[in-house]
Amino acid sequence: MRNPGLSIIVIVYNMPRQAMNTLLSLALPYQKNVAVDDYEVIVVENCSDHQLNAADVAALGPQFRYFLRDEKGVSPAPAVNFAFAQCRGNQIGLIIDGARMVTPRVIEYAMLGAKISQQALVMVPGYHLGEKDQKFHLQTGHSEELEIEKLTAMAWQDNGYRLFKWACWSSSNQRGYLQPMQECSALFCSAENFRSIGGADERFDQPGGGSINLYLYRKLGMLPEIQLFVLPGEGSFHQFHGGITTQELAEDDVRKAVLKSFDTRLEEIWGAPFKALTREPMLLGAVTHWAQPFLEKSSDMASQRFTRLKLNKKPFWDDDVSFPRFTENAVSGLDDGYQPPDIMKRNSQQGFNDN
Amino acid sequence: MNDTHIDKQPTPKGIPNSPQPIKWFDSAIPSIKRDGIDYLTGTAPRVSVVVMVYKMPEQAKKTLYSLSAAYQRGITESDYEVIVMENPSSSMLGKTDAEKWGNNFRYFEYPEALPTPVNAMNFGASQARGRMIAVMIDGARMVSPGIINYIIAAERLHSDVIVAVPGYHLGVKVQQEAMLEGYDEAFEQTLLEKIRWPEDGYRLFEICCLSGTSAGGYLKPLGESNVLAMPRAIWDKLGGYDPGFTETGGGQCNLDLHKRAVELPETVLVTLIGEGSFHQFHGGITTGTKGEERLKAMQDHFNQYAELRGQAYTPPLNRSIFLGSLPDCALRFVRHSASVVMKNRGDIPRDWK
Repeated sequence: MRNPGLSIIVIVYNMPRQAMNTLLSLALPYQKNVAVDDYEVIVVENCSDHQLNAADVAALGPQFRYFLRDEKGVSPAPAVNFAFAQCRGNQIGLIIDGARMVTPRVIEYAMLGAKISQQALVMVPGYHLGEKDQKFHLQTGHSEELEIEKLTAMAWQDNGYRLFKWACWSSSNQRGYLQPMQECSALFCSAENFRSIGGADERFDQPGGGSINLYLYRKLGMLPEIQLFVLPGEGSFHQFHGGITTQELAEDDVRKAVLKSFDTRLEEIWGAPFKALTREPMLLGAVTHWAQPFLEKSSDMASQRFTRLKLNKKPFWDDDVSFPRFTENAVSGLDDGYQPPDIMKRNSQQGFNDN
Repeated sequence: MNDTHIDKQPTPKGIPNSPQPIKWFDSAIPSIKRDGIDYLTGTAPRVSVVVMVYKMPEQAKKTLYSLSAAYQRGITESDYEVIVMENPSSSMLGKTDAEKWGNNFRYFEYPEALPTPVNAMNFGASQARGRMIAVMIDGARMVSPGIINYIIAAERLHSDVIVAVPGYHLGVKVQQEAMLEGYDEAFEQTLLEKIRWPEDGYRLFEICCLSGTSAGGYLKPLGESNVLAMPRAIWDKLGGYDPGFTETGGGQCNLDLHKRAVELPETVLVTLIGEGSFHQFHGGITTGTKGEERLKAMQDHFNQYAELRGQAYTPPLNRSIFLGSLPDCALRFVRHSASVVMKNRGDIPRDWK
């Protein structure tokens, strides 16, 4: 059997039902246009009271490899590095929060991205199931029971794009995917690039890894040769599981304090004030009608951002500026010393001097 | 623009053999089959662009400049070649003006008795050395600066990729309507100067509207593509343009080629959403003639298509894979495209709060 080209890492902790949905969404025949030996899924579970059934995972197909490990800490970072050591593919996928299920062409398009460029960083926009970000579940009445009911009703396994019908932006990309995004909860890059940034930094030892996702996305995105791809027609959908940042704590102060500690750690490790990765994305993939409302809204919000930046004479994609590369928006209105090229110098009423 | 009021005469509906309405929004997503071709070997140009010029030297110069390595980004002259085809007319571009844009430009004057470009285009394609053949049947269409780069990128996706580029008209409305209100070459020149073309070719999106065949936006199937790229093997399999299209400007030959290419079972359609081809005003057959004359020409085109294919033209329903980044000024077309399909479907707009 040949080595799979792509290894997808899924980290699971204490959410067997949600994780099983996630794994189903990575299995065949739900994923389209890929074969069983194109990819593998490395499932690493940290021990808890509620664990996956190893036999159930194995039943999803030979491309699933399940590892259960003891973890003393509260962070998934060591599990990610353990999983990475198991990967056989030249390209890896990273789903650190095993509660995120994906749409049916995520694997296909991630592999297409790698075909266009070995330096592809493929990001799948993040959504939350439900009407509103799940951290407001107490206000919106979102619950696990409701989610189970809705998922069953929409028969998501028959057509994963239906998930868009009952979803909203994740707060980390709440202004859509045509502008900078904080993090990526399902991302794909070359194994070499992941190795070159040192894998998952285990100093992120806070619950859920703290802000490790933000760190990894920016760290990978700032590799000079990286080509960022965004899949406008696909998504990763967060299921409700009382996770670290998505639960609504009774006392708002507690929640804020937790987030604050995450931010502090992030900036310590990054070594400078942290901001979202600001590089121009290349879109890839078909957009089904389920996802079109989000495309429309993304372009609407991106227009507003571009207009604002233009008025303020600021570059659209800060982080591209330091790398000489081809971007659509490379020419901005910054320098107004416009010299029309010779071809445009007019010598008559119409046309231009083209001698 | 002058203020002379002339009754508008948009493309007629319901005349015999005119395009039929279609049900389009549940079309299937293309599947990309695996293949093991090594795309990056060889020294021949990867892309050969074949451009047709007829009786529009000024527009053609701008088009050819927009295809030159000085304007196209992320590529060099050795990555591609441009083959300029010209049919004899009273107003010729000529070899010198066709080849001065780079060492990768070649010019052929093609003797043609009929008013159709199809034979010249097929000849041009037979001279192509690239693995991908990109045809531009209307030399009055200038392009955005990423076309070549993205055709090369799309080629890596699949061995049988068909690359389409949405079509636009310069000006706020399609030129067959705008000309009735006085739109002309001089006014177009002021538009180009306003965006300081060719400094940033993407700014063409600021001064254009969607072409008739792309009017519903690119989330619906496009009727044609005025930059249509395909691997040589597919081109050969299709036999290029059908020489049966002998009408003025080739009639619906470009729509026909687009449809036949996209509907082949092995091909995958990739649309470059952040790129465009932009029609400059000239006295073209369907965009630059008025009233009766235009209607007559359109009717002849429809009839010839129906004669050759047994029915009126309908766009291919295959859903497209998108590729490309979006320049800021092109976002309004994404919004337009999405809102058209959402409205057509009767989707209730979401509450986005």
